Amino acid sequence: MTEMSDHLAKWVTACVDSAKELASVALGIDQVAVNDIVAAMPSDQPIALIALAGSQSSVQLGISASHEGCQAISKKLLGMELDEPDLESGEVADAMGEAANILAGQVKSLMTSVDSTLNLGIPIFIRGQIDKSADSEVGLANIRIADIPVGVVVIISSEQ
Amino acid sequence: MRVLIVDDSKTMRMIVKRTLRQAGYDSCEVDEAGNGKEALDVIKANKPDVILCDWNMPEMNGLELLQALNGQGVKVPFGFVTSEGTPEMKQLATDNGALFLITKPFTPETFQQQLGAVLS
Repeated sequence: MTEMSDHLAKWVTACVDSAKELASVALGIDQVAVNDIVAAMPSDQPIALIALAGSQSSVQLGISASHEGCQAISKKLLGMELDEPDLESGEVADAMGEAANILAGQVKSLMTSVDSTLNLGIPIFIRGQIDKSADSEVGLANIRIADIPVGVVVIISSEQ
Repeated sequence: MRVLIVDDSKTMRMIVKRTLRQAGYDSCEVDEAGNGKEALDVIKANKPDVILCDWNMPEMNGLELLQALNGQGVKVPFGFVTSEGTPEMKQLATDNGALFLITKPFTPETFQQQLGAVLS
């Protein structure tokens, strides 16, 4: 794991654990491998982001994957076979947002000991590069859900 | 039996429908609404036997919908299907008359356990 604060590392660990739960129960995939954890933003690829904010924390959680990866996650979430026709872009945005929503719900339950006042926002889906602000800290876990490379992102704002 | 699924995510409404089928409730009629406000109209028109409702939604959230139904004296079995399941939320749901709170991600077995008691 790249150098990062204990606080951020705790959030990233909760995200990885939640991603495993999401993969197993919602996608029906038990094979989840963690490739590496770095203090960097994901590369230029689509990402579903959701805010998790409380009196002690202001965090954005995200799931990032290639266009093909987003299609695969969305199809698995909807119970479809991967060789079925591709979903429309709006359907992928909705499905990826829901995946982020499920992930964040799990993370919230794991992080109540850190902040019991956390509230979930509404997910958004972005196709393009996102940047962190100067006062924020980023942790990215590069994982594989079966054969799908996925980035699980935590962006913590230091300003409250 | 008529089930109303309330969720702002079309994806999640599809997942809930699929899980209902997998849980053995494949003969039920399903209505959908994208938020609490839309749900109030559907409930008035179609009189569902049970409501499965998300918590976080724009316009009117699930708790506000439940409270509105209580205020109107509408008695329909109501359960939350939501990504959040803290003890505080479960208590709030129970205090307002919700019969259960299913946390995402869920399995058909969870639906059978929670809905079985309500629909039997």
